[in-house]
Amino acid sequence: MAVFNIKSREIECKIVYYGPGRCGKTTNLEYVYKVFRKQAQGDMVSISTEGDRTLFFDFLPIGLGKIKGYDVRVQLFTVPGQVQYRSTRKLVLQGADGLIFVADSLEDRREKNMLSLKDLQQNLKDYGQNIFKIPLVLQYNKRDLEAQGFSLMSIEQMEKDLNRQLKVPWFAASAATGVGVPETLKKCLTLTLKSLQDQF
Amino acid sequence: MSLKDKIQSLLKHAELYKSQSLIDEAREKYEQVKKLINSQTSLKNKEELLLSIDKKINALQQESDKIFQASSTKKDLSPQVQDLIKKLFSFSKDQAENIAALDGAIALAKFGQFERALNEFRELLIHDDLRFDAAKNIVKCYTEQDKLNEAIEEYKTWETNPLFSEQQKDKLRIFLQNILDKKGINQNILPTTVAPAPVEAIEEGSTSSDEEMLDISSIGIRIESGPRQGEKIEVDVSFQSGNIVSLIISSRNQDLIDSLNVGLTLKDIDFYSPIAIFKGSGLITAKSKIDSGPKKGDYCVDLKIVNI
Ligand SMILES: Nc1nc2c(ncn2[C@@H]2O[C@H](COP(=O)(O)OP(=O)(O)O)[C@@H](O)[C@H]2O)c(=O)[nH]1
Ligand SMILES: [Mg+2]
Repeated sequence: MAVFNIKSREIECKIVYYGPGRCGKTTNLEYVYKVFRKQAQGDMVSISTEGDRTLFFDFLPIGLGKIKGYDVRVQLFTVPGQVQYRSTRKLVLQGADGLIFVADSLEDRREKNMLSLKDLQQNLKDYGQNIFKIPLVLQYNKRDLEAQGFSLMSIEQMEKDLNRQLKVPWFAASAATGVGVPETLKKCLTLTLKSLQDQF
Repeated sequence: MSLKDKIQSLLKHAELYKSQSLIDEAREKYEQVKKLINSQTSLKNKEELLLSIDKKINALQQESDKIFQASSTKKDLSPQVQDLIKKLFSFSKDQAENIAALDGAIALAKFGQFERALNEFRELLIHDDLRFDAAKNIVKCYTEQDKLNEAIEEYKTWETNPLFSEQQKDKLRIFLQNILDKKGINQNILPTTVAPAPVEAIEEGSTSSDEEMLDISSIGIRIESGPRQGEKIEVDVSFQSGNIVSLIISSRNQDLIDSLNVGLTLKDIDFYSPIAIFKGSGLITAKSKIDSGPKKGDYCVDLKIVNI
């Protein structure tokens, strides 16, 4: 639900990080905030419980500067992943122009990834949007754990589980160290701006 | 892997999961360690080991209780954050000012900021075109907090409020009565002449009806008999045509093969599709042994998806 202001030549769009609980959405946003601080247009707002679980959402406004004469601003959101926050998650998703689905590479989180992708598809559908059409990028997170001897799914497996039909761009990442985080976001921004350009 | 290595690996995973608040996953690993230790007949310090794992499970439970409490206690956000919520989640930006105000108050209510939402809804009651919606949302705010008595009290003030038309009062009375009935509260605020209208859904929920059959890439079936009873096995789908999937089951899983007979309905199947995982049931429609080729000795089983 981007906002165009032709007169003041401004564009504001919304990108949402989606994924199961504890997959690393907040960590992604924290890294973006740390590294792109100069581009942040305000503080990152995290609405979380004491145990650092996202309660409602995280929010970070960033500016991309002038693109084709337009001042482009982006609102980044994360959703709460836990199943019981279904209604707030859906609310945060509303009006998203682009999506980053963060999947947890831990083998024991395999089902949770798939359930969350299904939840995303259903929520989009309820808003009249189609998961196959909205700008979407997948991120396979926590890859750093492999070197420490933890059981992760192979990228091949995750592609098969999550991306066989979607066939969207994907990135292996470690939000904890920042590897892959900017790449994921940049790709999503590119796709989103392109889709907005096509629409208007 | 030696027993010691196995246990160490499980514990290492459990600690990681705990550090990431993946509580169920951590517990599962500890349980696996216990099972492993229990299965050893000649382990010297078996009891001590088991005790130390139980201690870890207890600590985990405490952590889990803490998280649960933190997330279930009511959270009042600062006025600044509430303002941000109003700004970010009212979607009628171009519309009339008072509609935007209603939207903002609804956003507050959706994020559990009931006190401020109630105040804002009350202020909107002066607008004739918003009155019914604002009043309905006041009732919803109380319902969400299980404070139906307060909803009734507030409704009674509307009964005597000259701002409300007879029609508005009637509609609100029916709205509230429906909620009371649904919650099983035995209180009648309706005059007996008015028949209750059909219940209006409060929560947006969704039911998918005309979903196309998705690609199923593999399925998880539970073994229903034999020594591995209860274990879930994942089998790749080799071919799918509509709602029939063909599975190749390796001869290694003989107990599974034995338990799958034509005509049997399996009630607890996980269907893995690239988009999601579904729970459902299926009917075995064919089963045959592969006689040649690299899969010789394995079985081919056709499963008709009855319900997902
Ligand atoms: N090792 C590792 N841990 C991560 C990574 N990303 C997130 N985590 C950890 O996973 C847990 C959940 O992360 P968080 O960002 O809160 O997940 P969210 O629920 O998706 O917002 C935290 O303990 C993070 O430190 C990663 O790339 N590698
Ligand atoms: Mg979070």
